Amino acid sequence: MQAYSDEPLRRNSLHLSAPHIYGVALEHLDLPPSKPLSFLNVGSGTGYISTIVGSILGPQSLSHGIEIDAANVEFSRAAIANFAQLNPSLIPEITIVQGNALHLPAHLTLNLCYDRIYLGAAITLVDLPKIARLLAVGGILVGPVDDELRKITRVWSAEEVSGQASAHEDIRVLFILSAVTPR
Amino acid sequence: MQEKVQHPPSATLSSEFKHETISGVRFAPLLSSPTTIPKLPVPLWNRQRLPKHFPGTFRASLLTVLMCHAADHHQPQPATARNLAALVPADCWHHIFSFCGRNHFRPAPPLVAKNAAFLALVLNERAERITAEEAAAASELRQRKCEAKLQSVLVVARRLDDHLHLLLRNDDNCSGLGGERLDEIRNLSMRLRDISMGEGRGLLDVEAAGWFEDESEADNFEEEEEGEEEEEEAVEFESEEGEEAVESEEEPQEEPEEESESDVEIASDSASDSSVESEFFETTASTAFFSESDDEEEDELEEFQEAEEGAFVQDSDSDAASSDSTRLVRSPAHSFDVTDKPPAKKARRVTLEDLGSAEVWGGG
Repeated sequence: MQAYSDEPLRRNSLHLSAPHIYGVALEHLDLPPSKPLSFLNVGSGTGYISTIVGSILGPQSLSHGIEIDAANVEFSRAAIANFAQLNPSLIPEITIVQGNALHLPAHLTLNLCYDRIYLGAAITLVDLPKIARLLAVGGILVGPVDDELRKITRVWSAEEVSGQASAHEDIRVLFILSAVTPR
Repeated sequence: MQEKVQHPPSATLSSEFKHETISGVRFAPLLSSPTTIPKLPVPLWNRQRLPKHFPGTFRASLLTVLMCHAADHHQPQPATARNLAALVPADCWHHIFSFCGRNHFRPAPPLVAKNAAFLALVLNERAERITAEEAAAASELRQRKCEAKLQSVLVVARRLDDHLHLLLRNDDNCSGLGGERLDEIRNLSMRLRDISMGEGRGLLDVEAAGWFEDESEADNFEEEEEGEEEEEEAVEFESEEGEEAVESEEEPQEEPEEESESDVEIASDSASDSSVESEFFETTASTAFFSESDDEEEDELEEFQEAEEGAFVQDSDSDAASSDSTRLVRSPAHSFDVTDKPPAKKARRVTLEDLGSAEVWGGG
């Protein structure tokens, strides 16, 4: 009966927020159906919302999760595999990794940006940039910041603007293939 | 159900991000330890994963390149056309594709949208600049008011300091007071001197000591000061012996002879306002007037003037008639000029017993 009440569930290290929280978060994540966006779940826990988001975005989307507790990682991997087995080609390959999201390497943003990010645990305003920098331009982050559920949208990227200038300088080296002898 | 609030730009998050507060929640915080670094897999394309986990734009672009690779180098139409994609071996293409990120072939956002974002950013920064300028102007205005108020308080401190000095110089005034009372008055005089000489430094200590228990007292005192200037009211300090010595403006030189030796008279000066230029001088135009009929006390006054290290300057133009009534008027340079102008029309008595009460603040 507890599963049907709109209240958070806690069992050992496994936490599930109240169902209405997931509803509000999914609404503000503004997920377009069957669009291959990338999604990051920080503090993925049971992987519940990762599965829901994967179902909406489709199998071509990218879904990553970060969980600090090893037991939760194992539980979520098993639960996701079970769901994928029951619903083939419904969700993408959801990757859950163990680690502390507050210690993500800084160079990660050069290779990977996410279109949607959900925070499963509260983050302070000071630590927020560590996660928000993973957002792609136009991306949306939803999660508790201090004691407020916030929606953060990346409007533009300073790195992208500065990168455009350097890209123009690199254009001249793109045409060296013309010197190759034709077959 | 939710209440959307446009959040102001955060101090820790740059203007690249737009904030919205959805609702108030209470979550368990993210743990800061252990500091295990997560290793997120960066999706790289390879032949086996071509159809899956990559967006359609990426797959469509790869398909286009590989189809071009399969075509001839020399294109029939037009005759000069050359298919450069056919020059690179397929394995090289696959290797090149593996360097492309997942969003490499994602179409760039339209320029209009990007310009709109920058325009919104510029407008936002312009609004913030206007707000900051308004705040700076308000702050400057408050600073000016505070400085003006500080000057007023300094004037009050100097005047009270002068009054207390003159009263304490007279042994008769001090004889009726107890030792503690006298020490208290002397301490008050020293604190006032510190405040006036230190341009307000130590004023907070005075407030902390409870002398300005209520800010309205100082304000009332200041207002009454201004009122006195307008009415050209003279204030007379009298000793505890109870002799009343109210002097008139028309007969300034006769009164000291009528009064007892212990009488100390301090009156305001209204005639000096004509030479006033600064606001400070205007507020100090009603400064002390000191009168002594006894020669000994007049000598003591001169000694006191010398001890003030030049703070009091005797006017050389004063004639002999001024020997009976010597007036001390504060100059714009925070010093005193001794003039011979007649005292004010009205006079009001203030005794030493009043010094410890709040009435001093209202009647100084």
